[in-house]
Parts: sequence; structure tokens; C-alpha cells
Amino acid sequence: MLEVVGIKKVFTSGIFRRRSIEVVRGVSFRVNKGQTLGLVGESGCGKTTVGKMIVRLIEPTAGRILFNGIELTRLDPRKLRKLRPKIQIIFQDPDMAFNPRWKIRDSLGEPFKLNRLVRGREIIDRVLELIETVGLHPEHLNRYPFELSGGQLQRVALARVLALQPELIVADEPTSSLDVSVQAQVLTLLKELQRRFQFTCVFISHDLNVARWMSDRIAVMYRGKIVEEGKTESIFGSPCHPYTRALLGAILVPDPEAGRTWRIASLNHVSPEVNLEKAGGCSFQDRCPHAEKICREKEPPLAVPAPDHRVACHRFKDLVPVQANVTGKVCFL
Amino acid sequence: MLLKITNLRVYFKSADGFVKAADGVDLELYPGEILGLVGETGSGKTVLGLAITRLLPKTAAVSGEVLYRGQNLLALPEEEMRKVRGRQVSMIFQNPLSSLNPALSIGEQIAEVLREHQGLKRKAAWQRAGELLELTGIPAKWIRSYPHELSGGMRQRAMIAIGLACAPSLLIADEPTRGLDVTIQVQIVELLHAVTKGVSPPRSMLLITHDLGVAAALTDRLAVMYAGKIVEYGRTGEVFRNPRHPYTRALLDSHPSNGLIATKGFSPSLINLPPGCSFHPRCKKARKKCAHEPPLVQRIGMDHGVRCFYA
Repeated sequence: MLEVVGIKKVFTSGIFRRRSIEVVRGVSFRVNKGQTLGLVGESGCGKTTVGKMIVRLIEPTAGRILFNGIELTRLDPRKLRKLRPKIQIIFQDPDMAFNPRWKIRDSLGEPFKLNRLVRGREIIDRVLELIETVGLHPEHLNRYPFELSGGQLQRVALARVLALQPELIVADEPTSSLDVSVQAQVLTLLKELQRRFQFTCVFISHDLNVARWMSDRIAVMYRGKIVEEGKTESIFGSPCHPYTRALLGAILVPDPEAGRTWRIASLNHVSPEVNLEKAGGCSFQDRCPHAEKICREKEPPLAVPAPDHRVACHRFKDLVPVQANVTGKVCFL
Repeated sequence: MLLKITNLRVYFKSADGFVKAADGVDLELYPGEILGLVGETGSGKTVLGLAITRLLPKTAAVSGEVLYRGQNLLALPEEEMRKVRGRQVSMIFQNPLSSLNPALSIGEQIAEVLREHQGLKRKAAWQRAGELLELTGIPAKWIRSYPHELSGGMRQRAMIAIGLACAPSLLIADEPTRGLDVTIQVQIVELLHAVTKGVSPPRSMLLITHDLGVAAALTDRLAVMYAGKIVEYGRTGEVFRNPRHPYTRALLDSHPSNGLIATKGFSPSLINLPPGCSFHPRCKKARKKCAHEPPLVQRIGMDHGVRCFYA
């Protein structure tokens, strides 16, 4: 369905484009039809860039992206335009995703007009149908974006994306600006819609805990690379990479007794001065509590700790197995 | 008791009527304690923080009592209030990017507070600013950096450094972890713990947050706010173990660690509150009475209260 093979992105800056920074450093994964891949990592790890490359808002520097066997990266603009409705993206901040001077009905009608799918009276019917699909009221159609709450706007964003009956949706932190209770509503809706319309989804998030509920598989990204990838159950059941473990340990559980385990879980401080391209070795070495000589010298290859599970770490075999503490919550490191 | 809020009301006048941002709020905060104020966006939590520090716009109608060490802050002349702000009570605002001055280095912004409130000379203030940065985990050599040069986590640390500048006895932190990565969130939680529980005598904090995970990790007591009212309060362990208000339960269930169970409906507009209990249109347990009669707070245990008929 969706296959990403070794994509890279180098951004250049300066007058002579001499300064360059490799944001995505060779990322590969595949997502089966109707399934969800959770792409997880901290801000700046390149996950959003990967998402934007999939919908070709950013051109990859190298690598291939295949969608239903068609190579998106080599497609000519006219064919790409035909394919565009099938591949959609939802952005993080719904406030910025809408024209503030348009009513919701105009924003929702736009995809139909642009793609000449239906016209006239029929647009209104479709818009009405959409707004109800995402659990809003027809009266919301006459409002302006600023009159809706963040959660309601994100529902409208979902509706607009669904208008074109996409086969693939890239959801880039769709709920990170929302309250927990509203987040639960929007994510439940997204899951329901996926069951109904059977689209494939790449769910980008910095929160493993959220990604867990949405994803069949999870890929953890760190500094432009995937460091661990596998089925959601195996990532949570037996996380192998120290970074994945740290992310899991950073989850603040709403339980005062378990809450105190966060002390042990925090990572070494990042020192932004370390130039990893020059230093070589594992990109996590400066924050990793388990780093050894080999980690500074050699980049870790992808290992297979269990069937259908990949990890890029020299020392994953030496780490203590994960254990549950008294409260049943898992603690790490 | 360090802070005692009684029957606090904050109304804003708008074209469509009064916005009841805080509607009869009672709260108590003891010395050395961290009190969590949890609720959704638009429930009035931030307004409460601003009311305590008297930073609300002049258009707000405020009534009730905010006793800080027995002194009613709402009745204090502005001159006196300036002395309380910063030195006694200090606020860490949400969204550091818009709260910090983009044209001044973080060092200058901390030093400014020190010169203003503590009368430090330029040089002494600058040096102290460096110490405060170190204390909050920013290398002192970054003292001349501007807010845009810092990451989100570092900016939040700078905000905390400003809040701590005059060693206040009460810190009000408004959504200090919002918008940060989980790993950075943990670091900020650790830092907040260190600057409150880790100093002697321990400093009090009012922690305003929508994240129950953060509240669980830091607070001693909890107050849950919905549509301008406190609907449940109690010791943190007690509230989490034995939530009695249906809204507190819904909030806990919606957390990703607890299964992401959504509650139907939206939080009401503060202009047009439903009659009776504000939560009744979304409540699974609501009965006839809830739609007509506003419930009062019932005490259901030692220091545990709930605003619900059927708790």
C-alpha cells in the first residue's frame, strides 16, 4: 500500500547553500492497506518532514515513496495532481489550517470545487453529510473558524480531508494542541472513520501513549532515523532501544503512586554542541545511559530481536528486561 | 493557611451577556503544599490564577475574597499589590514564546525583575540572573540568548527562572508543560518539584494544568474545575483512587493511559450555562433534579468534597 524506501532530506541554507543539515537520514517502512503506522519521536527528529514528503509537500533528496505500487517521487505533475485527492494530510494546528475569512461551509466545499467532483446544489448536500459524519451540527457551517473550539475545528479538518475519500491520511500530531478529554473524542472519531472508510494512516505523534491507541505498528524516530520498529504490542511489551524505553518511562501516568517513577526515567541532558556527523557512531550515544566504546565508533546496524521487530542498537541484548512494578505500571532504565 | 479563596466570582461583560469565568470558587492552599487545579480549556482555571495576582483586565468584574496570609489581595491598593507580586506571589505564564519579550535577552528579563522588585544594582542583578538560569538547568553562558534562540523546554525553564527571581512563597504555574515533548515534560516536572518541595522551607504552588499525569506526579491536593466551578476537591491520592464526580471520572477515563474513553458533548459556553448542574447534559448519571437545581458542594470525607447530588 504505502512503502517508503530510504528517503532522505537535506535542507540547505546560507547565500551559497553551503550550510546543510540532513533532517531525515534514510527512513524506510511500509504500511499495509487500512492499517495505521505510528511515527513517534521528539520535536526535531524529522517525523513531520517524513509526513510532508509522503504527501509531496516537500521533495525528498533521495529515496523512493511507493503508493499502491506507483512511485510518487518520479511522478510527473499532471499525474500527481490526479493522485493528490487520494493522499491527504491533517496538520497539528487547526487554527492555521483554515482561511479565517471563510465560513466553515466554504472551507468544506472547497475540495469539491477544486477537484470538480460535484457541483452546485450537490456540494451543499455533501457538505451537510460531512459535517454530520464528524459529529458536528449543520449550524456550525455558518460559523467562522474563530467561533469554533480547537476540538471542533480539528473535526472540521477531518471532514475536509474525508471529502475526497482518501486512501491514505497522514495525521501530523492532530491532537497535540487539544485538551486530554477533547483529544479522546477526536482520536475516537478518527478511529471510527478509519473503520468505516478503510483508509491507511500514518499517525505522527510525540506521545507514545497516544500512538499506542491509534497504531497497528509503531516506528520510533530519533535524529532523522528509525531506531526501532515493530508491532504496537511488541514495542510496548518488549521495547529494545534505550530511547524507546526512555520515551515509555517519560509517560506521566495519572496515578499518584506510579507517578513518582518519573525521577529515574529522565534522560541525560542533550548537549547541542555535539556534532554527530563528525563524531560518528550511534546518534543516541550522548544521551544514552548504556553507551559504550562501540557506540561511539560504529553506527549500529538494524538487528532483529524478535520476528517482525527491528532495532538499531549495539547493546539491546545487554539491557535488563522490562518489568512491571507493584502498581502494574511498567518502569524502565 | 497561606491562601484562602472564598466565593470568588469573575465575570466579563460581552455583547451576548456575562461570561462567568469563575462562579463562586472556594479554595484553600496550605504552606508548602502543591495544589493542582485541573480542568479543560475554557473552564476558568487561568482566570483564577490571574484573579489571585490581580492581573485581569479592568473590564473584569471581580468579587469575593482572596486572603493571602490573612490579607485580602482584592482590596489592596495597586501600590501594595505590586510589592506582593513577584516577591510573595509569582506567576509562570503559559506559552513562553508569547509571554517572554522577544527583544530582550533572557538574562535582561530576569535582571529586570530583580532590579524592580529587589532593588539590586545592575551588576548584582546580572550575576543573580546567571545563577537563576543555572538553577533551572540553563547553562549560564546562554544568558545573552534571545527567546527565539531557545527550544521550547529551555524557554519554559527561563520562565520558571523569572518566576523564581524574587524567591516568592507562592508560585502559580499556568500549564507549564503544555506543548512540550514528553521527555521535556518530565524534566520540567522534575524542575518544578525541585524548586518547590526541594527547597527549605518548601514553597507552595498552585499548578494549573489539564494533564492529569502531571497533576498526579506533582500535587498534594487537587481541585477539579468545570465551567467556572470547582466540582471536586480532595487529596490527590484520594481523588484519583476514588473519584466521586462524574466529570472527574470522565477526565480520568479520557487520559491515554486509561484507555482514551471519550465523553460525549462539548464543554458549555460560559455565557450560556445549562440550568441546574452545568455538567448534566454530558453526564451519564444525570436525573431530573440535575437539570433544575444547581448542586452544592457536599463533604464526603476528610478534606474531600464534591458538587454532585448523586456522588
